[in-house]
Amino acid sequence: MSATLPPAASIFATLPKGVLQIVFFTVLGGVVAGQDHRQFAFVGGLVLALTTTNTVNVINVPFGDKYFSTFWRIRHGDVPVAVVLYARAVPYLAVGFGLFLAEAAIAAAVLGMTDVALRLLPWLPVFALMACGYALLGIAAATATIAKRADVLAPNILGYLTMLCAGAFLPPGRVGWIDAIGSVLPVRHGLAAVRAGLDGRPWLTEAVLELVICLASAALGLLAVAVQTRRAARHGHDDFA
Amino acid sequence: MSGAAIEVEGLGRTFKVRGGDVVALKDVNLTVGQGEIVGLLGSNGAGKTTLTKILATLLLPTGGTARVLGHDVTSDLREVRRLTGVVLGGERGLYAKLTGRENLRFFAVLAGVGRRGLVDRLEAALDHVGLADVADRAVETYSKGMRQRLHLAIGMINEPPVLLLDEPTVGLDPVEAERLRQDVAVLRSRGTSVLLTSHLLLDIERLADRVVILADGEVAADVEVAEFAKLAGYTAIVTVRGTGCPPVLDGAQASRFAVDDLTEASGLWTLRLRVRDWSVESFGHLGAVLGGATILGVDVAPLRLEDVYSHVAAQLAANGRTGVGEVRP
Amino acid sequence: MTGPPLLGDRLRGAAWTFLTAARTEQRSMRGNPLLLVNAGFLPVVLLVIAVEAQRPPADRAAQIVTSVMLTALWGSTVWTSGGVLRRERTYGTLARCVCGVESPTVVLFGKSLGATLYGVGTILVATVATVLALRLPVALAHPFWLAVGLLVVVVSATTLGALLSCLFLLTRNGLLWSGALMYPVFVLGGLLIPQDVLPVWLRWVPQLLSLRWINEFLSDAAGPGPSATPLAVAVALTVAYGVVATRTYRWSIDKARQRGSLDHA
Repeated sequence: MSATLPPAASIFATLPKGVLQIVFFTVLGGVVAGQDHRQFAFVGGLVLALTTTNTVNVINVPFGDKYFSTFWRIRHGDVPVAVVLYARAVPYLAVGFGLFLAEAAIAAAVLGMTDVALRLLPWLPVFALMACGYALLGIAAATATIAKRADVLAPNILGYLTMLCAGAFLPPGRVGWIDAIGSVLPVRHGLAAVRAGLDGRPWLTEAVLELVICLASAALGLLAVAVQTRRAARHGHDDFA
Repeated sequence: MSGAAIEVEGLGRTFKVRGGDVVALKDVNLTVGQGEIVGLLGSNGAGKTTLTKILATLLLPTGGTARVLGHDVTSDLREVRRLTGVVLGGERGLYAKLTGRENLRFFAVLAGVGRRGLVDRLEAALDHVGLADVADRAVETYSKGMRQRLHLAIGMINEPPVLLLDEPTVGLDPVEAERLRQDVAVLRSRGTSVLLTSHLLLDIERLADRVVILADGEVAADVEVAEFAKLAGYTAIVTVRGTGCPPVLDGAQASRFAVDDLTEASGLWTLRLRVRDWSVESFGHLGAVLGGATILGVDVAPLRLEDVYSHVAAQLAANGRTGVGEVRP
Repeated sequence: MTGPPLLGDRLRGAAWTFLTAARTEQRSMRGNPLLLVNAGFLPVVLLVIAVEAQRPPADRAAQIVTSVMLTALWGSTVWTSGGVLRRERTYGTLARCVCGVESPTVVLFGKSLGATLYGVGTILVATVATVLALRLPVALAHPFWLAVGLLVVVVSATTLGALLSCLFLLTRNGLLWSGALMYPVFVLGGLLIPQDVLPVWLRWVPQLLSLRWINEFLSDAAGPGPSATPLAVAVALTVAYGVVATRTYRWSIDKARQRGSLDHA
């Protein structure tokens, strides 16, 4: 688990992974759908690296409490559990975003897409919003399943759903059920806002929808924390064994 | 092949750590006869587990030799492993998602148990350690005691002539610990040689024929269990409470009793005497000591191996250096 | 006590240990979420995005399906068979696994086979279901050679998994490196991204991966007809992986016995 790993190892393993993930999706876009699809896949690849490789580490917070059996101490403290949980997630989010910027710069240079990367700079706040939404839903999913073996499954399912349904690689409008799932998950609307902004189309509505989903993810997270805290008090399952 | 089950000569093991070397074993010499159960005692860091791991082929020595039924533990790995059962115990070392039977089956095959008769052997082993009823439950649902018993079943599944037990009863409740001791006691009747490492002297008292004490990586004592008890220099502690003047021991009495402690408060005194050799005559001698005193109560506590070990450990610490023959009553 | 066992008995003993190890690993993979993630979801997602981004013609569909399956197999191998020894260390069972009567390598390869079979089976089911759902026109021109290719896939992935397992044993951060190793092969493995798309100075990399040669063999077997060369290269690479894995494992065990770290978590 990354929380127990030395930071240097974590960074040196994550950074190349993020770069190669962006490169993979960009080149794959060109291979399966022609050179015109490369820019589309590059922007999508950036978002996938941001969320599924860098932001996903926020789940180390609930996982850490499970593996080190420390949840009971947090539960017995004065500070509300949710506050402790989200406060501890912030460094992961910040480091993840910093790593993402480095990965994006390297990948853009490798792929010869520095111009596209530079045009994306004004849209970094929307990227940050997507990362927040993904982190909040990730924490909600991890917390909700923490007592079960599915704790490994939930964040990974979220990752694959994002890969499939966020419109990162597959343009919206191709498969109905994929569009339907994507529209209620973080990332898709934010990504649509970025693409619209790059093309000079109106983008605000999509950005607001991304914000709404981000807030809904936060609410789900609070609910999951409340349920697990209550469950722990009722059954004494603080170690989530 | 020699008659000894385990022969250790001049065994040494040094670990390289940041900042220097740590000597776990310096010059260990010991033998375990065939069918003998030897208890290995020592404080934390004395080298007990290191010795067990070397004999189990899990660790290479940095000096000396160790043989199991004549086979060198560094060169005849296959034979040593075939002839040795190992129980390192603890909560790890098992596949938590698999059932007890699946764990036992896998480790039985690794220990060289063939296909023929495997099922019967699994049943017998599970039955022997009292896990037959829960054999098809995942190990993650087992209590600490059940896991320890499964470890024991794994260690004994190939019916090895030599068994290495490292802290087999640690962490068990008294009932579980007693059950495990009974399991090991059965091995004696089968002629299995056992090297038993334990912090619990009750294990040694109940099971071992001989006691080896490791201190600072060397054998500090190697004696029969009965002899080991004498290392403390007394066999019982008598606690006497009385009023008035406390008794004073003369020279002859001091050869039979040693004053452990004398406290006085509010006209009451409490005297703790160590009785060097408890016998029928001891009552007469005790009467002579206490003759002039007003006695309110007498309590006799027989010596426990814990007391012996505490005495030996204190003596070892006081000596500064350790070695065979240095521990004296 | 008996004398040393005969060669026949030793071979039978090794085969019995190998099969038992494979069976044990299969049982412990039951319900393993990592298997479902990497062998179940990955081929579905890759296949859907690759096909729906632009529907391929019939002759290209089989090639995409094969590439997706082998890409997913790499992802599965990294986490499942590649994680065999990492998991043994976590459970505290490594010491017992390497100190059995039979060679530890036999146990490692048996366990790697057990994990690989589960992974391959899951990938096959997930891929076939997705192909049917997407109504992809996949032709199977030479089913016998496809079966041969599948057999080589299993053997090669088993050996590759054992090799990865040994490499991960050299580090305490095996879990992290498992995640880090997926995309390099996705990009440079010559599977979904063809070798000729890579820069010239990197085109030697896919040549070292048996899965790339199996991909070529299976694509040919599904279409124009199988060629012996890629199959032979895949087998040769598989043997090389096996030799390196065996030596690395022995070296790791000797080191661990010297350092006393066999039962470290």
